[in-house]
Amino acid sequence: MVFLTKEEERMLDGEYGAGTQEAMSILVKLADAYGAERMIKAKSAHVAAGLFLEEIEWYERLIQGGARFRCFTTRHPWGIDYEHWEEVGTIYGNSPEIRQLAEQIFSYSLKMGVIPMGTCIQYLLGDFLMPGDVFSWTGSSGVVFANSVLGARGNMEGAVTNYCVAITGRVPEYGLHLDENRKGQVLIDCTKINFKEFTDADYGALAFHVGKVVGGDIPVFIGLPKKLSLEDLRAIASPLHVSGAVPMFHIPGLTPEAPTLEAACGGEKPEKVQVDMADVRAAYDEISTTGEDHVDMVNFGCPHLTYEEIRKVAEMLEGRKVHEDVKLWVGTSYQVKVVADRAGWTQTIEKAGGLLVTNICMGPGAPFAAHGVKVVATNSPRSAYYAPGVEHLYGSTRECIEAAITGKWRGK
Amino acid sequence: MSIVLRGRGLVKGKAEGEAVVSSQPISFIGGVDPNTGIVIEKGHELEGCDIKGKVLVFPFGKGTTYNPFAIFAMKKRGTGPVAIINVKTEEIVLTGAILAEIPFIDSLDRDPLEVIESGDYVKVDGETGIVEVIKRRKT
Repeated sequence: MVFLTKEEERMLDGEYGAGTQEAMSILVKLADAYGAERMIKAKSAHVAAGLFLEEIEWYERLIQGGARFRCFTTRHPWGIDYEHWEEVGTIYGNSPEIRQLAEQIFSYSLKMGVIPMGTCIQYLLGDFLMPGDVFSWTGSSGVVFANSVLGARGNMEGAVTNYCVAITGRVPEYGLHLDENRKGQVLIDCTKINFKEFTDADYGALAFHVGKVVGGDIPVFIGLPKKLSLEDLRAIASPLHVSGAVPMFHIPGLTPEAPTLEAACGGEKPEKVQVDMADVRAAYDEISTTGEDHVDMVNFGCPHLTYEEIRKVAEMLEGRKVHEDVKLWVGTSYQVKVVADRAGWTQTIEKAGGLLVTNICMGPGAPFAAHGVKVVATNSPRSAYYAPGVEHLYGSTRECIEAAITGKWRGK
Repeated sequence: MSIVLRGRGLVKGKAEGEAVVSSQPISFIGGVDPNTGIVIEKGHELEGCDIKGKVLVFPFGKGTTYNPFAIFAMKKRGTGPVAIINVKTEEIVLTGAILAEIPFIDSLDRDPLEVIESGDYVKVDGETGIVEVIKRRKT
């Protein structure tokens, strides 16, 4: 049985209300299932919800039981683009009923004290984590990024667990919360790759390949360029838990707990796997699900785009027109969109015929199929893997923009 | 003939029913129709199978973070399994089973994917972790 402090026991005994009691009792069951010895305090939680009518019963029970978030908690997209509801809608369409349900389900997290960010990039927008900080998040790309780049600590957790962590402020200490489970287990030797001409999609393809090679092990990258941008790092982080079950990676000299290769591996000498351009190219074919050259839609935004990525998309679209048969969606958070509006990027994208959408998941919850599109081009391996009901073509941002303009795919 | 397996009960409750066994991981979101309980994932070995009212045996869960809510919704709609047996516990399925109050067992003393076959009749006790398998046909 997991050890509980006096306060945690009081939570379990119901002294803080039935909502906190239920949340703690679920975490205790998880802790026991994983063999966790104790609970630790979480600094940050990130919660998401589905769109099932039945969920309401649980949220209402928690709130009636007095549940409020005890740690800093942010919200995943809840599926309503307030500026483009009709045009975007949800995975289940854009009826007033489904909007009402999405709004109602969202209102519960607001009542419990959420910061309503409506994005998967909370780590760029004020969910401030430092090395050693404990988090419990929905969204695999953020989890990999926070563990590997920020040096914070969190496992890949599901929606229910994250609510329970938010409500109790506690997380079972297992998996990546423990030093011994964070050691690099496979060396990924990239020294044969020429990164000079590397595109964003090349980084994504490389990481997709690596995820497949290592399965559930923690990779240590050797031979990457010394300077990696935020966007490069996200492109590496996002696919690893798609093709594999990789919760973190090490880049010696960059990952906070891995100043050296030796530190990354925790004194062990793991096997080395060579990767080259042929592997990167082969990954493109695996990520794309079709050989079609006709494109109905182009999407960017899994994970949600950064300021710099939107600026570049706008730059590529300047003075051009998206093909009349193609939809172009650029997904981000509405905080980022405020800046894009001010900068004029939104107007450039819209003038070209695209849409800057906010508060919408462009991956597992993407509402593409509800619009009758069949073939979707993207620069995200994660979106290509998860976005339901459509075929996918994978390429760089530039190749995707060209597809949006011409309606034809000329990617790799 | 009947075989008794002993494991770890992680969600209490007793249930029994016909077994549906999958050697592949299952995603409840996108993988199963929550209104019917029929597996809809293309190419899945259970594609077309009905898991409603069944004892569902599979290695572990896969898929997105919302899976627990799908399991909960299926229970409420009467389309979910009556019990779940996993080889390796993964929190997405476990939290779904906790929320839906579906008896859940893992860590059996023999590999349930080998011992239990689809069509066997299985009795599950989530309190004691005991699983009784009544074979459909003599082996």
